[in-house]
Amino acid sequence: MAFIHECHFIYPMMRYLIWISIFTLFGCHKKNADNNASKKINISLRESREGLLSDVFDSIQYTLLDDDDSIPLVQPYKIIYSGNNIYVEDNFTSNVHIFRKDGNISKVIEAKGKGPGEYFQLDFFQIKTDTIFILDRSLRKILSFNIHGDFISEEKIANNASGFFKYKDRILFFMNNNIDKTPYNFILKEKENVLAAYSPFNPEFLEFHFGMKNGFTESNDGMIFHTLPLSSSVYFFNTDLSLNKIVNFDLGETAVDEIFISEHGSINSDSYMNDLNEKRMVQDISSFFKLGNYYFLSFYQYGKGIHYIILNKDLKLISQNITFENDIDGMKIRNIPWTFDDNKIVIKMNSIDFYYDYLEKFSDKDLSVRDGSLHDFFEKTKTKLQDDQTVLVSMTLRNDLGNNK
Amino acid sequence: MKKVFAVTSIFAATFFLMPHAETFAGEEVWQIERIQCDGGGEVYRCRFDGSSGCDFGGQKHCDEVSSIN
Repeated sequence: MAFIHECHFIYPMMRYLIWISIFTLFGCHKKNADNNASKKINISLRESREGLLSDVFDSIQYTLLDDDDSIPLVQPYKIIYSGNNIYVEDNFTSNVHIFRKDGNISKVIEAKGKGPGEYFQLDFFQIKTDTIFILDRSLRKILSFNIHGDFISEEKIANNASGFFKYKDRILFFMNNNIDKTPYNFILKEKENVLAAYSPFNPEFLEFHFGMKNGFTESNDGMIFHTLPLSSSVYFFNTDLSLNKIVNFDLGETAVDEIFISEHGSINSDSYMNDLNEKRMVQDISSFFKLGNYYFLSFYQYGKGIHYIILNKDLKLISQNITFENDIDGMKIRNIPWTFDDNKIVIKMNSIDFYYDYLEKFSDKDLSVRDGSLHDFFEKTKTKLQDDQTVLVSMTLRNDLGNNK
Repeated sequence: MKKVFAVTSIFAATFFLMPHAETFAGEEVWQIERIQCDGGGEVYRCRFDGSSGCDFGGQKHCDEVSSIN
Protein backbone atom coordinates (compact mmCIF):
# COMPACT_ATOMS: atom_id res chain seq x y z
CA MET A 1 0.00 0.00 0.00
CA ALA A 2 2.88 2.35 0.72
CA PHE A 3 3.82 2.14 -2.91
CA ILE A 4 0.44 3.52 -3.93
CA HIS A 5 1.02 6.66 -1.95
CA GLU A 6 4.47 7.11 -3.39
CA CYS A 7 3.15 6.68 -6.90
CA HIS A 8 0.20 9.00 -6.87
CA PHE A 9 1.97 11.43 -9.13
CA ILE A 10 3.29 8.69 -11.36
CA TYR A 11 -0.04 7.08 -12.21
CA PRO A 12 -1.60 10.03 -14.05
CA MET A 13 1.68 10.62 -15.84
CA MET A 14 1.84 6.98 -16.86
CA ARG A 15 -1.67 7.05 -18.26
CA TYR A 16 -0.93 10.24 -20.11
CA LEU A 17 2.09 8.67 -21.76
CA ILE A 18 0.17 5.55 -22.70
CA TRP A 19 -2.48 7.63 -24.34
CA ILE A 20 -0.08 9.79 -26.25
CA SER A 21 1.38 6.57 -27.61
CA ILE A 22 -1.94 5.05 -28.57
CA PHE A 23 -3.17 8.23 -30.17
CA THR A 24 0.05 8.55 -32.12
CA LEU A 25 -0.03 4.97 -33.37
CA PHE A 26 -3.75 4.70 -34.09
CA GLY A 27 -3.85 8.19 -35.47
CA CYS A 28 -1.53 7.17 -38.28
CA HIS A 29 -3.68 4.31 -39.49
CA LYS A 30 -7.29 5.08 -38.66
CA LYS A 31 -9.33 7.01 -41.16
CA ASN A 32 -11.17 9.78 -39.43
CA ALA A 33 -14.66 8.38 -39.89
CA ASP A 34 -16.12 11.37 -38.07
CA ASN A 35 -15.44 13.57 -41.07
CA ASN A 36 -17.82 11.49 -43.21
CA ALA A 37 -20.80 13.71 -42.64
CA SER A 38 -21.15 16.41 -40.11
CA LYS A 39 -23.57 19.26 -39.91
CA LYS A 40 -23.37 22.43 -37.84
CA ILE A 41 -26.47 24.16 -36.54
CA ASN A 42 -26.19 27.53 -34.81
CA ILE A 43 -28.42 28.10 -31.83
CA SER A 44 -28.36 31.29 -29.80
CA LEU A 45 -29.83 30.56 -26.39
CA ARG A 46 -30.47 34.28 -25.98
CA GLU A 47 -33.28 33.82 -28.48
CA SER A 48 -35.20 31.45 -26.18
CA ARG A 49 -38.46 32.98 -25.04
CA GLU A 50 -41.02 32.27 -22.36
CA GLY A 51 -44.16 31.00 -24.01
CA LEU A 52 -47.45 29.25 -23.56
CA LEU A 53 -47.33 25.50 -23.21
CA SER A 54 -50.07 25.22 -25.83
CA ASP A 55 -47.76 26.86 -28.37
CA VAL A 56 -45.77 23.63 -28.49
CA PHE A 57 -47.83 20.91 -26.81
CA ASP A 58 -51.49 20.07 -27.13
CA SER A 59 -52.22 17.78 -24.19
CA ILE A 60 -50.79 16.47 -20.92
CA GLN A 61 -51.21 13.03 -19.39
CA TYR A 62 -50.18 11.86 -15.94
CA THR A 63 -49.14 8.36 -14.89
CA LEU A 64 -48.35 7.19 -11.38
CA LEU A 65 -45.77 4.40 -11.31
CA ASP A 66 -47.48 2.15 -8.80
CA ASP A 67 -44.63 -0.07 -7.67
CA ASP A 68 -44.65 -3.28 -5.70
CA ASP A 69 -44.24 -2.61 -1.96
CA SER A 70 -42.11 -5.73 -1.59
CA ILE A 71 -39.63 -4.51 -4.24
CA PRO A 72 -39.86 -0.71 -4.18
CA LEU A 73 -38.54 1.52 -6.91
CA VAL A 74 -36.00 3.57 -4.97
CA GLN A 75 -34.22 5.84 -7.45
CA PRO A 76 -35.77 5.75 -10.92
CA TYR A 77 -33.24 6.71 -13.52
CA LYS A 78 -33.23 5.56 -17.14
CA ILE A 79 -36.79 5.14 -18.46
CA ILE A 80 -37.79 3.53 -21.76
CA TYR A 81 -41.29 3.40 -23.24
CA SER A 82 -41.70 0.41 -25.52
CA GLY A 83 -44.87 -1.28 -26.73
CA ASN A 84 -47.39 -1.40 -23.90
CA ASN A 85 -44.78 -1.11 -21.19
CA ILE A 86 -42.62 1.39 -19.35
CA TYR A 87 -39.21 0.07 -18.31
CA VAL A 88 -37.50 1.82 -15.41
CA GLU A 89 -33.97 1.36 -14.09
CA ASP A 90 -33.58 1.68 -10.34
CA ASN A 91 -30.24 3.43 -9.96
CA PHE A 92 -30.04 2.33 -6.31
CA THR A 93 -30.77 -1.39 -6.67
CA SER A 94 -29.91 -1.95 -10.38
CA ASN A 95 -33.31 -3.65 -10.76
CA VAL A 96 -35.45 -3.07 -13.86
CA HIS A 97 -39.12 -2.42 -13.06
CA ILE A 98 -41.57 -3.20 -15.83
CA PHE A 99 -44.80 -1.21 -15.65
CA ARG A 100 -47.77 -1.32 -17.95
CA LYS A 101 -48.63 1.95 -19.66
CA ASP A 102 -51.30 2.62 -17.02
CA GLY A 103 -48.57 2.61 -14.35
CA ASN A 104 -49.38 -0.75 -12.78
CA ILE A 105 -46.38 -2.90 -12.01
CA SER A 106 -45.97 -5.99 -14.13
CA LYS A 107 -42.61 -7.48 -13.21
CA VAL A 108 -39.26 -6.64 -11.64
CA ILE A 109 -36.01 -8.02 -13.01
CA GLU A 110 -33.72 -8.13 -10.01
CA ALA A 111 -29.97 -7.69 -9.86
CA LYS A 112 -29.26 -10.85 -7.90
CA GLY A 113 -25.60 -11.66 -8.17
CA LYS A 114 -22.63 -12.61 -10.28
CA GLY A 115 -23.52 -16.14 -11.34
CA PRO A 116 -24.78 -17.48 -14.67
CA GLY A 117 -28.03 -15.77 -15.67
CA GLU A 118 -27.50 -13.11 -13.02
CA TYR A 119 -26.21 -9.58 -13.01
CA PHE A 120 -24.92 -7.40 -10.27
CA GLN A 121 -24.77 -3.85 -11.62
CA LEU A 122 -26.92 -2.37 -14.34
CA ASP A 123 -24.91 -0.03 -16.53
CA PHE A 124 -27.29 0.23 -19.46
CA PHE A 125 -30.33 -1.50 -20.84
CA GLN A 126 -32.06 -1.65 -24.20
CA ILE A 127 -35.44 -2.95 -25.34
CA LYS A 128 -35.63 -4.61 -28.74
CA THR A 129 -39.12 -5.82 -29.65
CA ASP A 130 -39.81 -8.37 -26.93
CA THR A 131 -36.34 -8.62 -25.47
CA ILE A 132 -34.68 -6.68 -22.67
CA PHE A 133 -30.89 -6.50 -22.87
CA ILE A 134 -29.00 -5.57 -19.70
CA LEU A 135 -25.33 -4.61 -19.61
CA ASP A 136 -23.24 -5.30 -16.53
CA ARG A 137 -19.78 -4.06 -17.33
CA SER A 138 -18.38 -5.21 -14.02
CA LEU A 139 -19.09 -8.75 -15.24
CA ARG A 140 -18.44 -7.84 -18.89
CA LYS A 141 -21.66 -9.39 -20.09
CA ILE A 142 -25.00 -8.58 -21.70
CA LEU A 143 -27.98 -10.59 -20.48
CA SER A 144 -31.26 -10.93 -22.30
CA PHE A 145 -34.70 -11.38 -20.72
CA ASN A 146 -38.18 -11.61 -22.20
CA ILE A 147 -40.77 -8.98 -21.33
CA HIS A 148 -42.07 -11.23 -18.57
CA GLY A 149 -38.65 -10.94 -16.95
CA ASP A 150 -37.57 -14.49 -17.69
CA PHE A 151 -33.87 -14.97 -18.38
CA ILE A 152 -33.08 -16.05 -21.94
CA SER A 153 -29.34 -15.95 -22.44
CA GLU A 154 -26.16 -14.00 -21.82
CA GLU A 155 -23.07 -13.15 -23.81
CA LYS A 156 -19.63 -12.06 -22.72
CA ILE A 157 -18.24 -8.84 -24.15
CA ALA A 158 -14.60 -7.94 -24.48
CA ASN A 159 -14.95 -4.19 -24.01
CA ASN A 160 -15.40 -2.16 -20.85
CA ALA A 161 -18.35 -0.31 -22.41
CA SER A 162 -20.93 1.83 -20.65
CA GLY A 163 -23.65 1.55 -23.27
CA PHE A 164 -24.54 -0.48 -26.31
CA PHE A 165 -27.02 -0.94 -29.10
CA LYS A 166 -27.59 -4.32 -30.72
CA TYR A 167 -28.59 -5.05 -34.29
CA LYS A 168 -28.44 -8.68 -35.47
CA ASP A 169 -24.81 -9.77 -34.90
CA ARG A 170 -23.60 -6.22 -34.52
CA ILE A 171 -23.10 -4.25 -31.34
CA LEU A 172 -22.33 -0.55 -31.19
CA PHE A 173 -20.59 0.24 -27.92
CA PHE A 174 -20.41 3.58 -26.16
CA MET A 175 -17.10 3.69 -24.31
CA ASN A 176 -17.75 6.74 -22.11
CA ASN A 177 -14.10 7.85 -22.08
CA ASN A 178 -13.10 4.44 -20.71
CA ILE A 179 -9.60 3.43 -21.61
CA ASP A 180 -9.98 0.06 -23.27
CA LYS A 181 -8.10 -1.05 -26.35
CA THR A 182 -9.34 1.52 -28.86
CA PRO A 183 -9.22 5.28 -28.26
CA TYR A 184 -12.70 5.98 -29.58
CA ASN A 185 -16.00 6.59 -27.84
CA PHE A 186 -18.06 4.52 -30.27
CA ILE A 187 -16.92 1.10 -31.42
CA LEU A 188 -18.93 -0.94 -33.91
CA LYS A 189 -18.26 -4.66 -33.69
CA GLU A 190 -19.61 -7.72 -35.45
CA LYS A 191 -18.80 -10.72 -33.31
CA GLU A 192 -15.19 -10.02 -32.37
CA ASN A 193 -14.32 -7.90 -35.40
CA VAL A 194 -14.12 -4.14 -35.11
CA LEU A 195 -15.96 -2.73 -38.14
CA ALA A 196 -15.57 0.95 -37.32
CA ALA A 197 -14.76 3.39 -34.56
CA TYR A 198 -16.00 6.93 -34.16
CA SER A 199 -15.35 9.94 -31.98
CA PRO A 200 -11.73 9.78 -30.84
CA PHE A 201 -11.26 10.39 -27.14
CA ASN A 202 -10.34 13.86 -26.12
CA PRO A 203 -7.24 13.28 -23.91
CA GLU A 204 -8.44 16.09 -21.62
CA PHE A 205 -11.65 14.18 -20.85
CA LEU A 206 -10.32 10.73 -19.99
CA GLU A 207 -11.14 11.06 -16.30
CA PHE A 208 -14.76 12.07 -16.89
CA HIS A 209 -17.47 9.42 -17.15
CA PHE A 210 -21.22 9.84 -17.46
CA GLY A 211 -24.16 7.65 -16.51
CA MET A 212 -26.39 8.71 -19.36
CA LYS A 213 -30.11 8.98 -18.60
CA ASN A 214 -30.95 8.12 -22.21
CA GLY A 215 -27.86 6.76 -23.95
CA PHE A 216 -28.76 5.23 -27.29
CA THR A 217 -32.30 6.09 -28.36
CA GLU A 218 -34.13 4.86 -31.42
CA SER A 219 -36.71 6.65 -33.56
CA ASN A 220 -39.75 4.99 -35.10
CA ASP A 221 -38.00 5.03 -38.48
CA GLY A 222 -35.01 3.10 -37.16
CA MET A 223 -32.47 5.89 -36.75
CA ILE A 224 -30.35 5.66 -33.60
CA PHE A 225 -29.01 8.65 -31.67
CA HIS A 226 -26.45 9.25 -28.96
CA THR A 227 -25.32 12.54 -27.51
CA LEU A 228 -21.68 13.05 -26.61
CA PRO A 229 -20.99 14.29 -23.06
CA LEU A 230 -19.05 17.55 -22.70
CA SER A 231 -20.06 18.54 -26.20
CA SER A 232 -23.09 19.75 -28.12
CA SER A 233 -22.88 16.92 -30.64
CA VAL A 234 -25.36 14.21 -31.52
CA TYR A 235 -24.28 11.10 -33.39
CA PHE A 236 -26.83 9.70 -35.84
CA PHE A 237 -26.50 6.01 -36.69
CA ASN A 238 -28.29 4.03 -39.38
CA THR A 239 -30.31 0.92 -38.56
CA ASP A 240 -27.27 -1.24 -39.37
CA LEU A 241 -25.36 0.88 -36.78
CA SER A 242 -23.07 2.54 -39.32
CA LEU A 243 -22.55 6.26 -38.78
CA ASN A 244 -25.05 8.41 -40.63
CA LYS A 245 -23.91 11.87 -39.56
CA ILE A 246 -22.80 14.01 -36.66
CA VAL A 247 -24.81 17.09 -35.84
CA ASN A 248 -22.99 19.79 -33.90
CA PHE A 249 -25.12 22.42 -32.22
CA ASP A 250 -23.03 25.55 -31.98
CA LEU A 251 -24.05 27.50 -28.87
CA GLY A 252 -21.21 30.01 -29.21
CA GLU A 253 -19.65 31.17 -25.96
CA THR A 254 -22.42 29.60 -23.88
CA ALA A 255 -21.04 26.09 -24.38
CA VAL A 256 -18.38 24.52 -22.22
CA ASP A 257 -15.36 23.56 -24.28
CA GLU A 258 -12.00 22.02 -23.53
CA ILE A 259 -10.42 25.42 -23.02
CA PHE A 260 -13.00 26.28 -20.38
CA ILE A 261 -12.38 22.93 -18.69
CA SER A 262 -8.60 23.18 -18.82
CA GLU A 263 -8.76 26.68 -17.31
CA HIS A 264 -10.37 25.10 -14.25
CA GLY A 265 -8.15 22.04 -14.21
CA SER A 266 -11.08 19.66 -13.98
CA ILE A 267 -14.85 19.52 -14.12
CA ASN A 268 -14.59 18.31 -10.53
CA SER A 269 -13.29 21.60 -9.24
CA ASP A 270 -15.37 24.07 -7.25
CA SER A 271 -14.27 26.87 -9.56
CA TYR A 272 -15.65 24.97 -12.55
CA MET A 273 -19.07 24.62 -10.91
CA ASN A 274 -19.06 28.25 -9.78
CA ASP A 275 -18.21 29.47 -13.25
CA LEU A 276 -20.85 27.23 -14.84
CA ASN A 277 -23.45 29.00 -12.74
CA GLU A 278 -22.05 32.52 -12.85
CA LYS A 279 -21.37 32.53 -16.58
CA ARG A 280 -24.59 30.61 -17.28
CA MET A 281 -22.91 27.89 -19.28
CA VAL A 282 -24.21 24.74 -20.94
CA GLN A 283 -22.10 21.63 -20.31
CA ASP A 284 -23.71 19.36 -22.88
CA ILE A 285 -27.01 18.31 -24.44
CA SER A 286 -29.58 17.28 -21.85
CA SER A 287 -31.97 15.43 -24.19
CA PHE A 288 -32.23 14.66 -27.87
CA PHE A 289 -35.28 12.73 -29.11
CA LYS A 290 -37.05 12.16 -32.40
CA LEU A 291 -40.74 12.82 -31.78
CA GLY A 292 -42.81 11.96 -34.84
CA ASN A 293 -41.72 14.34 -37.59
CA TYR A 294 -39.80 16.58 -35.21
CA TYR A 295 -36.60 16.53 -33.24
CA PHE A 296 -36.68 17.65 -29.64
CA LEU A 297 -33.56 19.06 -28.08
CA SER A 298 -33.02 20.43 -24.57
CA PHE A 299 -30.09 22.22 -22.98
CA TYR A 300 -29.72 22.83 -19.28
CA GLN A 301 -28.16 26.25 -18.88
CA TYR A 302 -26.67 26.53 -15.39
CA GLY A 303 -28.03 29.47 -13.44
CA LYS A 304 -30.76 30.04 -15.97
CA GLY A 305 -32.97 27.08 -16.83
CA ILE A 306 -33.91 24.48 -19.38
CA HIS A 307 -34.26 25.33 -23.07
CA TYR A 308 -36.88 23.44 -25.10
CA ILE A 309 -35.92 23.42 -28.76
CA ILE A 310 -37.92 21.90 -31.60
CA LEU A 311 -36.43 21.20 -35.02
CA ASN A 312 -38.26 19.92 -38.06
CA LYS A 313 -37.30 16.70 -39.84
CA ASP A 314 -34.69 18.63 -41.85
CA LEU A 315 -33.16 19.91 -38.60
CA LYS A 316 -34.41 23.45 -39.16
CA LEU A 317 -35.13 25.35 -35.96
CA ILE A 318 -38.84 26.00 -35.52
CA SER A 319 -39.38 26.67 -31.84
CA GLN A 320 -37.17 27.75 -28.94
CA ASN A 321 -38.45 28.32 -25.41
CA ILE A 322 -37.14 28.70 -21.92
CA THR A 323 -39.92 27.62 -19.58
CA PHE A 324 -43.63 27.97 -20.22
CA GLU A 325 -46.88 29.08 -18.69
CA ASN A 326 -49.11 26.04 -18.41
CA ASP A 327 -52.28 27.17 -20.15
CA ILE A 328 -53.36 23.56 -20.82
CA ASP A 329 -54.32 22.38 -17.33
CA GLY A 330 -52.58 24.84 -15.00
CA MET A 331 -50.52 22.25 -13.12
CA LYS A 332 -47.05 23.16 -11.88
CA ILE A 333 -44.58 20.89 -13.68
CA ARG A 334 -41.14 20.59 -12.14
CA ASN A 335 -37.94 19.18 -13.56
CA ILE A 336 -36.26 18.68 -16.90
CA PRO A 337 -37.42 16.59 -19.90
CA TRP A 338 -36.33 13.06 -19.08
CA THR A 339 -37.43 10.59 -21.74
CA PHE A 340 -39.93 10.23 -24.58
CA ASP A 341 -42.82 8.16 -25.80
CA ASP A 342 -43.71 8.37 -29.48
CA ASN A 343 -44.53 12.08 -29.94
CA LYS A 344 -44.47 12.98 -26.25
CA ILE A 345 -41.73 14.23 -24.01
CA VAL A 346 -41.88 12.78 -20.53
CA ILE A 347 -40.86 14.44 -17.28
CA LYS A 348 -40.55 12.51 -14.02
CA MET A 349 -41.60 14.02 -10.72
CA ASN A 350 -41.61 12.85 -7.17
CA SER A 351 -45.22 12.07 -6.23
CA ILE A 352 -45.10 13.95 -2.92
CA ASP A 353 -43.97 17.12 -4.70
CA PHE A 354 -46.77 16.54 -7.18
CA TYR A 355 -49.32 16.07 -4.39
CA TYR A 356 -48.45 19.33 -2.61
CA ASP A 357 -48.04 21.28 -5.86
CA TYR A 358 -51.54 20.21 -6.83
CA LEU A 359 -53.03 21.20 -3.49
CA GLU A 360 -51.27 24.54 -3.56
CA LYS A 361 -52.67 25.26 -6.99
CA PHE A 362 -56.17 23.82 -6.86
CA SER A 363 -57.28 23.18 -3.25
CA ASP A 364 -59.31 26.39 -3.05
CA LYS A 365 -60.82 26.07 -6.52
CA ASP A 366 -64.20 24.80 -7.60
CA LEU A 367 -63.30 22.08 -10.11
CA SER A 368 -65.17 19.97 -12.60
CA VAL A 369 -63.63 16.51 -12.85
CA ARG A 370 -63.62 15.03 -16.35
CA ASP A 371 -62.42 11.49 -17.08
CA GLY A 372 -58.72 11.47 -17.92
CA SER A 373 -58.12 15.02 -16.70
CA LEU A 374 -55.52 16.18 -14.18
CA HIS A 375 -58.20 16.43 -11.50
CA ASP A 376 -59.48 12.95 -12.27
CA PHE A 377 -55.91 11.64 -11.97
CA PHE A 378 -55.48 13.38 -8.63
CA GLU A 379 -58.76 12.11 -7.21
CA LYS A 380 -57.92 8.53 -8.18
CA THR A 381 -54.33 8.55 -6.94
CA LYS A 382 -54.17 11.06 -4.08
CA THR A 383 -53.57 8.43 -1.40
CA LYS A 384 -50.73 6.79 -3.27
CA LEU A 385 -49.23 10.12 -4.28
CA GLN A 386 -48.29 10.68 -0.64
CA ASP A 387 -46.17 7.49 -0.62
CA ASP A 388 -43.00 8.83 -2.24
CA GLN A 389 -43.52 7.34 -5.67
CA THR A 390 -42.97 8.63 -9.20
CA VAL A 391 -45.32 10.53 -11.48
CA LEU A 392 -44.59 10.64 -15.20
CA VAL A 393 -45.87 13.71 -17.00
CA SER A 394 -46.28 13.14 -20.75
CA MET A 395 -46.69 16.22 -22.93
CA THR A 396 -47.82 15.53 -26.49
CA LEU A 397 -46.15 17.65 -29.14
CA ARG A 398 -48.43 19.52 -31.50
CA ASN A 399 -48.35 18.13 -35.02
CA ASP A 400 -48.65 21.49 -36.79
CA LEU A 401 -45.48 23.11 -35.48
CA GLY A 402 -43.67 25.28 -37.99
CA ASN A 403 -46.63 25.53 -40.33
CA ASN A 404 -46.83 29.29 -39.92
CA LYS A 405 -43.13 29.94 -40.40
CA MET B 1 9.41 11.86 -35.42
CA LYS B 2 5.97 10.61 -34.39
CA LYS B 3 7.22 7.02 -34.31
CA VAL B 4 10.26 7.90 -32.22
CA PHE B 5 8.02 9.75 -29.81
CA ALA B 6 5.56 6.85 -29.66
CA VAL B 7 8.25 4.23 -29.02
CA THR B 8 9.82 6.40 -26.33
CA SER B 9 6.43 6.96 -24.72
CA ILE B 10 5.59 3.26 -24.74
CA PHE B 11 8.91 2.42 -23.14
CA ALA B 12 8.38 5.05 -20.45
CA ALA B 13 4.80 4.00 -19.87
CA THR B 14 5.72 0.33 -19.58
CA PHE B 15 8.43 1.22 -17.10
CA PHE B 16 5.95 3.08 -14.90
CA LEU B 17 3.10 0.64 -15.42
CA MET B 18 4.50 -2.62 -14.14
CA PRO B 19 4.61 -2.14 -10.36
CA HIS B 20 1.41 -0.15 -10.29
CA ALA B 21 -0.66 -2.73 -12.18
CA GLU B 22 0.45 -5.40 -9.73
CA THR B 23 -0.56 -3.26 -6.80
CA PHE B 24 -4.07 -2.96 -8.12
CA ALA B 25 -4.38 -6.49 -9.46
CA GLY B 26 -6.11 -8.03 -6.46
CA GLU B 27 -8.19 -5.04 -5.41
CA GLU B 28 -11.65 -3.85 -6.25
CA VAL B 29 -11.62 -0.83 -8.47
CA TRP B 30 -14.32 1.75 -8.87
CA GLN B 31 -15.15 4.52 -11.22
CA ILE B 32 -17.10 7.70 -10.65
CA GLU B 33 -19.87 8.57 -13.07
CA ARG B 34 -21.89 11.74 -13.25
CA ILE B 35 -25.61 11.24 -13.50
CA GLN B 36 -28.28 13.80 -14.24
CA CYS B 37 -30.74 15.09 -11.68
CA ASP B 38 -34.49 15.43 -12.21
CA GLY B 39 -34.27 19.17 -11.72
CA GLY B 40 -31.03 19.79 -13.62
CA GLY B 41 -27.40 19.52 -12.49
CA GLU B 42 -25.48 16.36 -11.76
CA VAL B 43 -24.51 14.09 -8.90
CA TYR B 44 -22.05 11.26 -8.69
CA ARG B 45 -22.51 7.53 -8.55
CA CYS B 46 -19.89 4.82 -8.14
CA ARG B 47 -19.57 2.11 -10.71
CA PHE B 48 -17.72 -1.06 -9.94
CA ASP B 49 -14.84 -1.90 -12.26
CA GLY B 50 -13.33 1.36 -13.27
CA SER B 51 -9.88 2.70 -13.05
CA SER B 52 -9.61 4.67 -9.85
CA GLY B 53 -10.94 5.10 -6.33
CA CYS B 54 -14.53 6.19 -5.87
CA ASP B 55 -14.20 9.22 -3.66
CA PHE B 56 -16.84 11.88 -4.14
CA GLY B 57 -15.49 15.39 -3.84
CA GLY B 58 -18.97 16.69 -3.15
CA GLN B 59 -18.75 19.48 -5.69
CA LYS B 60 -21.63 18.25 -7.77
CA HIS B 61 -25.15 19.04 -6.82
CA CYS B 62 -28.71 18.81 -8.03
CA ASP B 63 -30.49 21.97 -9.06
CA GLU B 64 -34.14 22.89 -9.12
CA VAL B 65 -34.92 24.18 -12.55
CA SER B 66 -37.69 26.77 -12.91
CA SER B 67 -40.96 24.93 -13.18
CA ILE B 68 -43.67 25.21 -15.80
CA ASN B 69 -46.41 27.08 -13.97
